[in-house]
Amino acid sequence: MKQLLFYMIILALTLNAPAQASTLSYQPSIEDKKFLTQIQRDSLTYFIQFTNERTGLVKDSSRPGSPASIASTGFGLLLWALAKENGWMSYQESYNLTLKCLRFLKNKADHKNGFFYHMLSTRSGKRVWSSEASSIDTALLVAGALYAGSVFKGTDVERLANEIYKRVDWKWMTNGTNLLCHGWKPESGFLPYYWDMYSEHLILQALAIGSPTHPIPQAAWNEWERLEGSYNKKQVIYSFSGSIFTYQFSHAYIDFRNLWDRDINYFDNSKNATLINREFCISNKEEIPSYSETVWGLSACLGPKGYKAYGAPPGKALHDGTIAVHSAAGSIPFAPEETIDTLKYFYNQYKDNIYTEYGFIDSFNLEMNWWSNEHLGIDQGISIMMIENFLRETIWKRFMTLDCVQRWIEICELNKKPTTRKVTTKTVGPRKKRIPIKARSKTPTSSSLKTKNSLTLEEPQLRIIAGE
Amino acid sequence: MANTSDRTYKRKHFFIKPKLQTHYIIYTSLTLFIVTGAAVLSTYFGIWGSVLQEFSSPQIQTALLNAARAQQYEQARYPNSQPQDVGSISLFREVELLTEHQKQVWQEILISTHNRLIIKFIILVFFIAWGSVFLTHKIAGPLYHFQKSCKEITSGNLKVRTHLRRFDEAKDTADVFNEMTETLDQSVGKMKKIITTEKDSEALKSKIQKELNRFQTSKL
Repeated sequence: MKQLLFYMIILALTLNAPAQASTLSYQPSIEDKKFLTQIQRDSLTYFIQFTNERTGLVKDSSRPGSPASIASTGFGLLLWALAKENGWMSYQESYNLTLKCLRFLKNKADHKNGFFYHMLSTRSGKRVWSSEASSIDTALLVAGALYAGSVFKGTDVERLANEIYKRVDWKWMTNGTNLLCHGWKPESGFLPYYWDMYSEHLILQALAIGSPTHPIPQAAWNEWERLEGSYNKKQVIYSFSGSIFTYQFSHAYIDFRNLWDRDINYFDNSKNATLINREFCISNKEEIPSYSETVWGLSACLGPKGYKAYGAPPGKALHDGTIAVHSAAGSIPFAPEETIDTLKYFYNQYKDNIYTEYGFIDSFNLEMNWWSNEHLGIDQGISIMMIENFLRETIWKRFMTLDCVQRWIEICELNKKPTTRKVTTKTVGPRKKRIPIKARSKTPTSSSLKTKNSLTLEEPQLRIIAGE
Repeated sequence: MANTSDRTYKRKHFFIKPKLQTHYIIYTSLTLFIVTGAAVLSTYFGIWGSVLQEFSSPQIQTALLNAARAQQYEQARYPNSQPQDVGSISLFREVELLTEHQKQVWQEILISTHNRLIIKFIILVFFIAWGSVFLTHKIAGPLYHFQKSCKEITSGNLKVRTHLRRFDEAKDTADVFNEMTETLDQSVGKMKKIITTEKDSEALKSKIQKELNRFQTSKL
């Protein structure tokens, strides 16, 4: 009888168990590991070759004359430390490079209330091209600095990283709202764009809410909209552009597998977004014949007509056959089999056109026989980091231990698993808004669909997407 | 004798023969405008066309790509940003060589160039007008004086002389004109003197006849 009762309890617990966090169950072969590590090491060369020797600032692109990007520099800070951890660089080499960069950023680089300008002169650290003091790019830089500080604990690197982090006035960047603004320019003040829907800004939210000096309130976490859409019966909280990088960047630092935003697991969300990105390409084979099971990857990248935010539905879904190579590399933890196959296909088929001493180039377009002749720092960076998280989880393990990250998780109650399994059998097509959101004090952009307090509002389907 | 001192004959009115001067101004201005207009247009389009052509060179393309990239990043990040109207730059055939942001940069350059050119054009018009008045006056001034002198002579005043300013045209003509009036003045004066001093009528007739024989006339 006791045994029967025990089994009944076990059965009941099993049936009511919360949704299981995703795990990286796919085991790559030894050859695959070797291949991926080679991509990492070649891509890392970018962060050595295109780093200014005096300032430590990393160029935005391999293009001649490119300025430094603070996002690329942030990736550089993290990757130099990672290189030390993985034995790809000596302690001294990594430490000296990191310290030089942080000293320059702390003392010389242009900033406004701690927010660095998006583009800086590699030599002087002065603002160039009238760029904005950028919230997301500063977050990527600070994240890299904090990671390096954690690796070089108890040193000047850690001290400087913390000083740079503590200097950032995140509250100021909300411009009196509960949303973080994209940026600020001396000529025109705050930009008219706010982080008001899902995108790569979760890392920004984490650092801003977890800040020990200038935190934004917990309400900021609930303020941005979680717009839900679907494609091929896959639900996703989507970003406006549908660019795959928006589902990757925050995940390069934060391990979302065991974090829950109510019933949303953003790791699973990115997994769906990755699969949708691939399926959308396959579905559009008739329109773009070069798309296939191994030629896909729509993300913001260089294209035949300049840098564009290519993407898949739900969202704007701009595409013209241009493939962002880093799409696959940056999504390895979400869909290992599909992405590794794709990367291997890229390498085997087009090596001469798309692989250099710095790893994969940014993008290509088979329809137009167009091949990018550039590497972009952030795209090389995301590739290395996500491969690392897939192979060894090194970055996730370390980053998740940071005080600010733990504080953010606690404040936003992200470690509370939902008590019931999420129902995922929704009608394909219509966009839905979920998560009650308070009426806004300001409605900063027109990028989001504006509705007032609502639980689940069905809105007209924007357009029929091929293959849906 | 004629007094050519500038101090004595200062210019008081610029439009002394308005009709002539106006015609002269129009002819001069039109010629100047046509010539300079053709020169300016060919130079303008030649220069800018060449500059745009240059911007298709790999080196300049790289520099422009660098400048355009930040803008493209912003457009990719901000969903509602739209390409701007490039306006008058579309007049250039070579504009097809440029990217959207490069077109915007060039449009700004053109607008500022146009503004500068308009100011220069207004200043140029002023100087052309002023120069035309000045130049025509150098011609119209002497003509006016000659006309005035002729009227005086017609009315019987042989004492009149034509005095021109130092840099006026037709100064040699004025000298000949004055020499003519001087001759007439002396001849008529001499005949007047003969009449008052000669009592003998035959001698009077003979002397006047001798003086009049110096002149050739249409009748007799």
